Amino acid sequence: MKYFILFLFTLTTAEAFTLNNNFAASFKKSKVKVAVAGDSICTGITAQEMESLIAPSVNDFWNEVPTSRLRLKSAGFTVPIATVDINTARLCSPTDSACIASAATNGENVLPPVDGIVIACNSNANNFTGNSVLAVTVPNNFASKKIKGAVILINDNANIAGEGLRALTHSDRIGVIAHEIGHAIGLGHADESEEQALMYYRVVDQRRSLGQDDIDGVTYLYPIKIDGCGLFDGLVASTVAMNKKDDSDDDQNGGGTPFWQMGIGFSLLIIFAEILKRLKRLQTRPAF
Amino acid sequence: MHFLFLFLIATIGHSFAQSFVPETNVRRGQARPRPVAAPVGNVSSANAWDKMDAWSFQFGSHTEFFNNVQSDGSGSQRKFAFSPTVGLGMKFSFSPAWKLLPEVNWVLPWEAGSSNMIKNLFMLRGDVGYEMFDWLRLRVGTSLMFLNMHGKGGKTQVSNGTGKSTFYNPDENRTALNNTFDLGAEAFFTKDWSARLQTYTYSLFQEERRQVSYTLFLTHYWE
Repeated sequence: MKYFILFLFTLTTAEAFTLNNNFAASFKKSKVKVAVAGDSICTGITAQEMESLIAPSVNDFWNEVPTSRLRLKSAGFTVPIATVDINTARLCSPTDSACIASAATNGENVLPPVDGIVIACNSNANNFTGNSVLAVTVPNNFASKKIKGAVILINDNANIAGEGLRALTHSDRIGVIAHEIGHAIGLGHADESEEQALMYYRVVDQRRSLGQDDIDGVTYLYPIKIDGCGLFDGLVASTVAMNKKDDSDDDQNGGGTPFWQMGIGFSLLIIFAEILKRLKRLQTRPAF
Repeated sequence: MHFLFLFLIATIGHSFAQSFVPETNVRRGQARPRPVAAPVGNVSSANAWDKMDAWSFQFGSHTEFFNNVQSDGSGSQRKFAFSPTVGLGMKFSFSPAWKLLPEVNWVLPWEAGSSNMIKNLFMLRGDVGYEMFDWLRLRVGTSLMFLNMHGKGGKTQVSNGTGKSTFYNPDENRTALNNTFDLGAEAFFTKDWSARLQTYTYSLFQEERRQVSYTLFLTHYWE
């Protein structure tokens, strides 16, 4: 038997997701808004076109995972970020390819903290590690292990290789935005052998859905139940979440859906039990 | 969505139709008891454990989110995954045609990416089984799915398009809990052995998030 089990282990798959940071940061809220910066100007892509990329980027990818509590929602446009020119400012340190927003020690501008995920085009080459980089994500609003806001900068530099996002097909643009949203919610790149993953570092021929790595990653960061395995913990947490009518302060337990569905499931079982009982009565009636 | 209701209606309809048929139906060679003596109201007085008439051991392969997980860079969707699964169940016979079939299944842990992550999926399940034919049992039920992920931590260098960046491996133990609506069909090729297709529908009432996973089982029953 043990050799059989060992055999099964040798056949299992190898996949990997990584995190953007070393403390598994994630949004505290279950519902996170994604919007285009109100003062963002992109070369060759209108603001409306950019905004129209958000819904498919979240609905066709991240929102499809039932084991995750995360619900991303397109929120149109933010108010203009007035304190810094989002289109041209240097916001990232060139020494850190992951583009961690920091104080202005290397000539960066300090982007005011944003709520949710904000997308903007930016033409400052210093924000990008190379001309082939399509976009970077700046998680710029943290509190402890919780993300409050992140900014996605689309490379709008005139020298970008292949003309960047504007040269891509509509579906590839959606893939790029979805990939950057993946960074914004806390995920890093997938392993280099995993080109099926959305968090793979390059644009692939066709992107239709998340890969297993992405599903695992978003489930790990946003499990639909609290940590641990207490059934009643989940029940209580879900009940609490269901009682919250707004989306302002969902905690990690979010959703409430599983136990609602469980109620439906058990109701069906009760209905079947009742049918069973009636059938039994029919069968046990004396024949005329 | 429609197929679920069709399945339910077909099952219930067939069940009622069967209930008016003379008792000549047999199940794997055993005549159904003649229901002439038991008066109405006495049928549920026995202890439920007395109805337990068999154990089952099942093994097979579990596929998560059928046709909705990308499997390569050209957009192919995964139809089948080999994820070894084992389980133990019981069979309660409340009538010749209807069974209650609770079971526990375990999708064996698989290590992801340089042994940095281990996943376990535990299913706590309950089905109502309907013996449609001698050789075919239909199942409807529900599951609690405990998906546990355990990260071992550390960091790794991954390409970022122009070079390598440092990314981090998960280092905590986390569990997602889902409830699913389940349908299954089980074909018996001997009295004690069956092959089963068991499906699990996540987020049944949320179209955007609805996903169907399935397991192919070989099941052995013994009394």
